[in-house]
Amino acid sequence: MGKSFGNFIAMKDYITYLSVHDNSKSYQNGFNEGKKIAIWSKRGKTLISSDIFDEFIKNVHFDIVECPYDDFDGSVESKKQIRKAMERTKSFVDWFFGDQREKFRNTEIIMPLVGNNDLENRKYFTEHLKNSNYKFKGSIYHGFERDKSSLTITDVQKYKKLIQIVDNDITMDGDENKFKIFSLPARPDQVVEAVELGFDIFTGTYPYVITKKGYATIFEPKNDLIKNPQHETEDYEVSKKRIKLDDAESEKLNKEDLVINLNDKKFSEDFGPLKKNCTCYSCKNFTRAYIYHLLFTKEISAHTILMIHNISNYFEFFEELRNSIENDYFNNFKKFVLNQFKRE
Amino acid sequence: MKKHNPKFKIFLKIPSFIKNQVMSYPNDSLDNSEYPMKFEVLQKCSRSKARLSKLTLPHAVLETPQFMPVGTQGALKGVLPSQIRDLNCNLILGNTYHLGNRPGTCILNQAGGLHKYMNWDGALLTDSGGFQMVSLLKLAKVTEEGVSFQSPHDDSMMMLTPEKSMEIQNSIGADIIMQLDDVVSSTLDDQDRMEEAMLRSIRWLDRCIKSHKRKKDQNLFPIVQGGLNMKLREQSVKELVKRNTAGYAIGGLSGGESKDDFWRAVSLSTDFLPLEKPRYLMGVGFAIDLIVCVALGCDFFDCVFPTRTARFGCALVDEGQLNLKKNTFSTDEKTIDENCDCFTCKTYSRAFLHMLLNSDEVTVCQLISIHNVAYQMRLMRRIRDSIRNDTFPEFATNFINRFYLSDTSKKTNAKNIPDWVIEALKSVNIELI
Repeated sequence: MGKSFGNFIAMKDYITYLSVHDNSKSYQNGFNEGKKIAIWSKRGKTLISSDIFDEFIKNVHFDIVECPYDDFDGSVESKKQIRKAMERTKSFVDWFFGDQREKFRNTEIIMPLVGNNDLENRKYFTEHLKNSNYKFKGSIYHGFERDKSSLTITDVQKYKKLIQIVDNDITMDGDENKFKIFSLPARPDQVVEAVELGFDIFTGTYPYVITKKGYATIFEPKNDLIKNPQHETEDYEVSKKRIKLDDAESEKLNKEDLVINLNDKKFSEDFGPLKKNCTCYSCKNFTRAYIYHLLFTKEISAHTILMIHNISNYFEFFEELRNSIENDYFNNFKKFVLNQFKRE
Repeated sequence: MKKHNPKFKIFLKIPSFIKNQVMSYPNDSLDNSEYPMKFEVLQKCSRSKARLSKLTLPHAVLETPQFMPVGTQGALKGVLPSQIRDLNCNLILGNTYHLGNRPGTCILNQAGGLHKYMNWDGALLTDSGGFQMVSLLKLAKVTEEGVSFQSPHDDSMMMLTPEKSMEIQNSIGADIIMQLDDVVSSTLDDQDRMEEAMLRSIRWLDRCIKSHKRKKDQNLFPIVQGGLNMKLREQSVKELVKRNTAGYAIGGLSGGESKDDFWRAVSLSTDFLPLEKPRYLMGVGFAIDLIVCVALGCDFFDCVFPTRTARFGCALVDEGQLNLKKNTFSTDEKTIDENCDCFTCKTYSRAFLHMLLNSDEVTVCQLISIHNVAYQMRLMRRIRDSIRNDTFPEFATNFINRFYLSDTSKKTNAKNIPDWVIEALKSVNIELI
């Protein structure tokens, strides 16, 4: 119907996905009014109502579209606030999954699952979905707390119980062919935890968030030894990664996130690749010293080079993640990844 | 690198520390050359002073007239080395002043030179750092010894002598290096200072020649000075020609002087410079200027303009520049230039680039830089092809007419070609009217 966004961005062979907010940035919560939500751009705040959004996706075609919603990316004390956000979300959901549904046959609309960390509100919401008998193939969880500086989710496990309960509520008649989207940037160890809870699709903004800071990821995306299902990953020589650094500050950074900060002067004379044994274009062509120089002199090539590496690393990890599920060594893989990030 | 001569049974073993310094030439033809460079005029324009030539350097072989994009700090504004190659560009410029500061000679030496540091295997040219004197003059002090100035990066005092400039440029390892010259703004009225600068530059040239430690790998170019004073300029050229160098740079121009004076100074310089050696005109990059200066006998050029203007969202076309930030482009589905086959023009519309300018500055800067460099390369190729076919006068005439006639900001219908363009080309037998 509408003009294809994929064509406009010269990616016509790709599936296009429209998200409500840019999760690579931290945006302000609230500032919504009535049945409208606030979205943020360089120019400031714009209020979006159902029909404005409707008009937009009618004219510009995306394959998958997130239904507008309201929730908070941190924990909220007031049940009343969460309730209000949930009601606002309901009005959008009623619009897009109710009578208007037929209009969007070429576009898959994703059901938002809101309610923050409050189980009661989460259940109100899913009750409403059940009673209204809305049909949807994909859902996305919102309302998880995210770390203010790294922008990743703070703790996946914190929401484990809640996710399992809500999942149960929305799965009807043994309909297993629904996919779940994880809305926040996530480190590999967090991805693995989320996959265990049934998530299928992840936002790819983690490499971008890392790159913007001048960091490069150095986690190992795979290891051949763990492919053997008999292999016990308690064998630490293989799976435990301990990267030793000189100072306490970067030891801390490294332990938590397995990234190196290329803004650090100590890399100015390091002529090795970003990550040893990495086969990406950046690691084959450029040195840490040069990338440090580019960042220091504020050359934009730095970002291109870091982005290529971080994406390669991340996607190689996802490929291996899928392999491990398909070939039955997911448990080993999970331990391999978690061990690297020093998680149990 | 010495070839093993089967006549002798003695093998020549090259110590590794020298090996690290000596570049391996992509072709043998430089082995027996007097300089690490060869320049061969292939074709001359039958009317103007334009010529088509072949330039062989340690890291590249190219035809001139050619344009050099500027990668000031060891990078070309978002364009990666392999992308530069894809644009058919194999000669770029790096700035000694900046590189001498960051990363500095120590790190460049450790890396094995700028080629290795930035992973560029084409040819490099470095300027001496002297031009910064003009732009930072309020903080600089020129003496016979050299120039001292305050680094804008960290406020430390830096002294740039001819010897120091050679040392930094030897570390960087470019195929062509510039002498340190006493640069004075061309708009300066003080003739005594102009003469002093011109004569000092010659003395500094001799100091550069003496302290240049890699004559087998790097070509040192002197720079013709004298500002707009024809007598001084002529004197400068005649002195420089006495020194045995591979080629010459024409400097001290493109500093805000009137175009009328500018072209005369260029033309005088090329009149007195030897025909069989290359002439590098510094700081020229606008299409019209390039065409005129090719007609006046210049062989290659450099300018920050194409890459700098890309940063502001301006894309180069034959008619001038397209400011893609303007709202008129928000729905323009055409590519920047239908005649351009760079990656940007093959893939994206003006509307898309307009949108990106409002959101992802890094990517759009890269995309427009790619186009602008491609544009410059294509322009120079068109110039070269026209000289090859001896149709350069016609090419110049058509291009210039189209450029100025399409300028709708002028009110009159009459040709809006500036007088200086007409006179400059007339001086080399190209009639525009």
